[in-house]
Amino acid sequence: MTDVANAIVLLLNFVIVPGVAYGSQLALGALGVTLVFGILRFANFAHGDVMAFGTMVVLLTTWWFQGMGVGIAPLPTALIALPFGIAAAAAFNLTADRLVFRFYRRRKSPPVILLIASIGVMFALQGIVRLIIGPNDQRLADGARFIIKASEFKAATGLKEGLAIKLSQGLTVAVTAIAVAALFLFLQRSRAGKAMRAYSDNEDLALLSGVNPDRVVLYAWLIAATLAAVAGTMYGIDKSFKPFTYFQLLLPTFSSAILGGIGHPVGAVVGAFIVALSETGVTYAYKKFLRYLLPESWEPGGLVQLLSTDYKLAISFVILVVVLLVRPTGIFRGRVLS
Amino acid sequence: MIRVENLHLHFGGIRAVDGVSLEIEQGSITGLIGPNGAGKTTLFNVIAGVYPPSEGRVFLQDEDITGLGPHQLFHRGVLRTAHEFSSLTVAENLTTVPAGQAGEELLNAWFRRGRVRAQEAEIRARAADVIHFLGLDEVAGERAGALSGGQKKLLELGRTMMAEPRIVFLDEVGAGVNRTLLRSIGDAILRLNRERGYTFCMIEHDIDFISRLCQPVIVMALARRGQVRPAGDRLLPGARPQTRRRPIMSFLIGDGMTGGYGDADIIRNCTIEAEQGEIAVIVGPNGAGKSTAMKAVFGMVMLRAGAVLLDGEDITRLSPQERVRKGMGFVPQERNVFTTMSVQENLEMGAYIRAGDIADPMARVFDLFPILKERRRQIAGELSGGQRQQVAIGRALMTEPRVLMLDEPTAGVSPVVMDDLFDRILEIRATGIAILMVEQNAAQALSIADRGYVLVTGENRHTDTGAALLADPEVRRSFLGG
Amino acid sequence: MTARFRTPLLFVVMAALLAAVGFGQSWVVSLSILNLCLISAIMALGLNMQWGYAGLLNVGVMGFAALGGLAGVLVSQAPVGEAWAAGGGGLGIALAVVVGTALLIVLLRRFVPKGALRTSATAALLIAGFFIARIFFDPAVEAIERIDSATTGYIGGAGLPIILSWMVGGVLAAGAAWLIGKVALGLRTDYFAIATLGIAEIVITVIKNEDWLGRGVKNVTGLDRPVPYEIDLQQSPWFLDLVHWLGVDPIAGSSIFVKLCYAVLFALVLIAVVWLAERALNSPWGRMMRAIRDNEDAAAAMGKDVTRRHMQIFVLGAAVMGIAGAMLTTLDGQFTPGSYQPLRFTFLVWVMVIVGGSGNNWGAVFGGFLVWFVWVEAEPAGFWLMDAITAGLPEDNALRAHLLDSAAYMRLIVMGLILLVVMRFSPRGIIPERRGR
Repeated sequence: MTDVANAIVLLLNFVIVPGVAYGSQLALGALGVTLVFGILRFANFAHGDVMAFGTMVVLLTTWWFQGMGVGIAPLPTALIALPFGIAAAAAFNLTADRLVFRFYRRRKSPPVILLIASIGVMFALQGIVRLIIGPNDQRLADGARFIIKASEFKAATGLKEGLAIKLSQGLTVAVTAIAVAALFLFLQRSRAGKAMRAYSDNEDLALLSGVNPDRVVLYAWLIAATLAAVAGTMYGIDKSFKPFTYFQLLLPTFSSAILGGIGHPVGAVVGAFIVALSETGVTYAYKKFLRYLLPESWEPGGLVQLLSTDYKLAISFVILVVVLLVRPTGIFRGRVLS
Repeated sequence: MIRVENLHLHFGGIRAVDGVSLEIEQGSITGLIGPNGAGKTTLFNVIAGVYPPSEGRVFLQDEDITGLGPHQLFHRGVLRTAHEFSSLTVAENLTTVPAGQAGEELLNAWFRRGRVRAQEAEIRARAADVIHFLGLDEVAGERAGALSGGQKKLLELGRTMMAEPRIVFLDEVGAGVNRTLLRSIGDAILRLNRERGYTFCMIEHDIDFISRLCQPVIVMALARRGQVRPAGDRLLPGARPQTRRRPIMSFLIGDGMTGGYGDADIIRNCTIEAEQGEIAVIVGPNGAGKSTAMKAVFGMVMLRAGAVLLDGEDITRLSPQERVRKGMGFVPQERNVFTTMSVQENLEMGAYIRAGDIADPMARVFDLFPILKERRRQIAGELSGGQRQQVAIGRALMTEPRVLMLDEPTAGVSPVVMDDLFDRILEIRATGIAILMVEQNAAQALSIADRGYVLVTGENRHTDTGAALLADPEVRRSFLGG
Repeated sequence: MTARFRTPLLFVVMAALLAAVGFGQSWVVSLSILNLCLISAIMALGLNMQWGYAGLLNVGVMGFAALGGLAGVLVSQAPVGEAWAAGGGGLGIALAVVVGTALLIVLLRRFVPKGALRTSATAALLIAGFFIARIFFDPAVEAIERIDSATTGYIGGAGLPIILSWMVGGVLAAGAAWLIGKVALGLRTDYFAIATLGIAEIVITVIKNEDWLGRGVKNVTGLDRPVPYEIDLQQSPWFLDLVHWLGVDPIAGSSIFVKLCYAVLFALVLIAVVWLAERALNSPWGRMMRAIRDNEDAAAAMGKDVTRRHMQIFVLGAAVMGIAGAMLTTLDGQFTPGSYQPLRFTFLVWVMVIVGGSGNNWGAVFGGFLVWFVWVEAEPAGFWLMDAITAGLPEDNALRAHLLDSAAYMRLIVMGLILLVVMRFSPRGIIPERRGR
C-alpha cells in the first residue's frame, strides 16, 4: 500500500504539481491571446513579448522596492510590484494599438496583415526589452521558497518519497484562479463583458445593438495586457526571467488557445492544462514510479522516459497538430467568446 | 447528361439538401427556381464538388462523379462559375482558364519557352476574341476587381467560353443586373447553347429571364426538389412604374432614395413609407434592391439622393445606431442572433443601447413569445430556426421601437413556422408599431400587408394596398408566379 | 517610365552603400556584408515564393535553413567509421522500423474505411512503431555518442566537397517541406503560421539534441571550404605576385580574395535562382499561382489543383531556403545549432520580403540586401547614437555603460520600425509586385 502511496506522491511531485503551475501560467497567456483573437480577429505574435515587457517592469520595480527595503515577506516582493507591470503592459498595448493596429482595423485589412504587423511590434518590443534590461537570466523570486518541503512531508507522512510545493507554485495557482474567476465573472455578468462577447460572436449585430467597437477593443487590449503581465510575473517567480524564454512561450500559449478553440476562454484554460500536463507527463522518467508499482522482476532497465525534456516544445505542438487535423475548431467550438 | 440521385447534405443538424433527385438533359438550359432557403445554391455546390454529399450519387453521362473536387470536375467538362480573380486583369482572368496549358508546368515554363509561347499566343488570341464578343475591349487591361457588377457577370460568361465546358452551372447570373445587360447576357447564353452546344443549369429569380431561356424549369420546394414544370409562353413584361404621392405624411418615409454600396446605384428614386399600426411589405424579384431599400431606410446604405424622415424628423444623416436610439428596430436576414449567448442575454443585448430598467420590455417580449421565456437560459445557437427568428425579433423589440424592420424574416423556415411568424407580426402590429418588411414569399406577405411595394431593378414598379396588389393580374403574373 | 528605372536605381544605391562601407570601414567588412546579403536575398526569394506567389504564411524559415546547414555537415565531414561500426546497424534497423510503420499506416488508411477502428489502429501502430524503434535506436545512439565524444561522437558525413551540400540541403529541406505540407497545408492561414513556427522549433530541437547526427550543441567546426584558405594563398607565388602587382598587403589581400571567391559563388547561385524564379513568375504558371492566391475557390472551379500547387510552391520555396542555409554554413565554416534563432532566421527574412515587395522577385532580392545591410550596420549606428546621447555623462556612469552595452539591440527596434513604416506607407513594398502581364 505504501508503495502505491509513494508512487502517487512521486507523480504528484514531478508531474502534477509542476504541470499545474505551468498550466496556470499558460492559461493566463492563452486567455490573452484568445481574447485578442476573439475581438480583433488576429493572432498577436507580440503577446509573448508583452509578457516579457510587463515582467521586466515588475522586475525593475521589485529591485527598487528591495533597494528601499520594502517587502511583504514571506511573499515575493514582485507581487506588490505587479500593478506597475500591468500598467506598463497596458500602456504598451494601447500605444501599439493607437500607432499600428488601429490603422489596419479601420481599413478593415485582412487579419493576416494585422498578424504581420504584430511581427513588427514584436521586433520593436524585443529590442526595447533587451535595450533596457539585457538578454540575460534574472531572478524574480525572493521571500520563502516552499509551502511544503520534501523533508517535512516525509517526516509527516513517513513515506519514502517527498512532496515539495514551492511557494511560487502555490501562488501561481492561486493568482491564476483569482484572475480567471474575475475574468469569467466580468465576461458573464458585467455589461461590458457581455458587450465583448456579443462583439466577438457577431460584430455587425453588436454594432447594431449599440456596442461601441473602440471601447470593446480597448477592453480587450487592457485585459490581454493584464493577463500577460500576471502570467509573465508568475512564470518569472516560478522559474526565472529571460526575454528569449518569453518569446518561446508564444508557441505553447498559441497551442493552448487553438487547442481549446481560439476565441473561447474556457477552451484556453483547458487547453493550457492539457499542454502543460502532457509536457511534464511525457518528459518524466517513469523508472522510479514503475519500480514502486511493478514486481521486482519486472523492473525496467532504462529511464522509461518517453521523450527527453528537450522535446517539451514538440509535445505541445504535436497535440496541436493532431487536434487541428481531427477537429479544426478546437476542443470547444472556437472563434467566439462565451 | 447529369443525373442526381437522392442527394443529401447535412451540416450538423441542418439538412441543407434533403433527398434531391433530378436530371439535366444534354443541350438543355435547365432552370432551377424556388424560394430562398430551398437549398438551390447548396445543391449546385454539391454537384460541382465544393462539398461532398452526405448521401446520394451524382453521374455525368454514366460516370459516377460523386465526391470529385471542383478541379477534377472541370477537367471532365463540368464548370461551376465562380467569382473573378480580382487582382488579375480581365485578360488574365480569361487566359488563366484553359486546361492543359503547358506553361503551367514549371519545367516547361523554365526550359521549353518556345512551346509555351506558341500556346500562349493562341490562348491570348482566343481571349481577345472572347473580350471582343462580350464588348469588354476597353477594360481588358483593368484589374477585374475594379469592374462594375454587370461587367463581372460578363467576365464570368467569358471564362465559361474559355473553358469550353460541356455543362455550365450558373448561380444567379442576373442578380443586380439591369434589364439591358440582362438581355445581352441572355442572348449570350442562348448563342453558347445553340452554337457551341453547352448545356446550362441555372439558378435564377427573375421569372422573365427564366421563362425566356429555360426549358425545362425545375421548381425546388424547401430543401427538396418539387415538381418539374415546363415554362409556359413568354410572360408579359411588367407595366411602367407608377408612383403616387400621399397627401398625409407617413410616420416613416424613405423618400426618393438613390444609392448603393459602391459606385453603382442599386436603388433609384425609390420611395418607401410605413405608418404606425400598419404593415408595409417590399416584394420583388431577387436583385431588385428590396433589402437595399430597407437598409437605406435604416442608414446602412450610402444615399446619393433622397431623404429619410421619421415622425417628421429628417434622419438621413444619422448612423444606424443613432436611428436605433430614435426608435427604429432592425432584424437582419442572416446572423441575426448572438449564437453563443443565452436567449436572455440576446434580449439584454437588444436593450444595450438604452439605460435603465429592462424588465418591462423583456416581459412584453416573453408575453409575445412564450417559448422564449421557457428557454431563456438556453444558448440561442441551439434553438430551431423558427425560435431563433423569434429571438431575433425579440431582440429588436427590446428597445421598444416605434418602427420594426424585418429583412426576410421567413427565409428558410418551414411553412408552418412561417404562418406562426406572420401571426406574431400581426400581434406586434396590434401594439401600434409601424412594421416594414422585405419578403420573398410575396403572396403570403401581401396578404397581411396594409401596403405593398413591388420593386424591380431598384425602382418602384407597383405601390398599393396588399390586397389590391394581390388582386392585380399583372402583379400576379409577373411576381407571384400566376 | 520611372518605374522602369527605379529598380536598377535602387540596386545602384545599394551598391553605393556597400561601397561606402568599403571606403569608410573596410573592404573586408563590406564584402562580409555583401556575402550575407547574397545569402539573405536567396532566402528571401524562397519565402517570397511561398508568401508572395502563393500566400502561404510560413513562419518556419529557420527550420529549412537549419536543415540546409545540417546538409553541410552530412555532406562534407569525413565519415566516422567507428561510429558506423558501433551504431550503424542499430540506426539502420530503427530507420527500417520507422519506414515500415509509415508504410503500414499508409496501407491501413488506404484499405480500412474511416472510423473509430482506423483511428485507433493508426494510433496503436504509431505507438508500437515508436517503442520498437527506440529499442534499437537508443543503444545505437549511446554507442555512437560514446566514441571519442570530445572530437566526434557522431556518424560524420559523406566526405564529399561541401559545395554539393548546397544541393543536398535543398533536397533535405524540400523533403521536410513535403512531409510538413502533407499535414499542415490544409490549415487556415493563421494556424498554418503557428504550425510552421512550431515545426521550425522542433527541427532545431532535434538538431540540437541528436548529437549522433550533427554533434548537437557541441558544434561541428572546421568544415570543408569550396575556396582556398588564406594561409595557402599567402604562400602561393602567383597570389603574392598578384597582390604585389596590385600593391595590396598580402594578408588583407588574401582575406578579400577569399571573400570575393565566395561572393562569386553565391552570386552565381542567386542569379540562377532569380532567373528561374522570374521565368516561372512570368509564365502561365505564375499567372495560375496568382489566381490561386487571389481566390482558391475560383481557381479550383477553373480546374486548378490548389492542393497540389500549394504543395509544389511550398516544397520549392523550402528548397531555396535549404540551399541558402547550406551556403550559410559553408561561409561560416562551422555548424552551430545554438545560433539558429527565429528572430534572425525567420522573422528577419519576413521583414526582407515585406519591405522589399512581396510577389516581386527583385523586391525580395533588394529586401534581402537592404535589410541585411541595415541589420549589420544598425549596431555601429546604435552605438554611435548611444554614445552621442550619453556624451554629457562621465565615462564611468552606469547608465552610459549600460546603454553602450545594449546598443546592439537597437537593430531590433530599427527592424520593427522599418517593417511597420513600410507596411503603413508603402504596403506593397519598395519594389511592388507588377500587375497585369
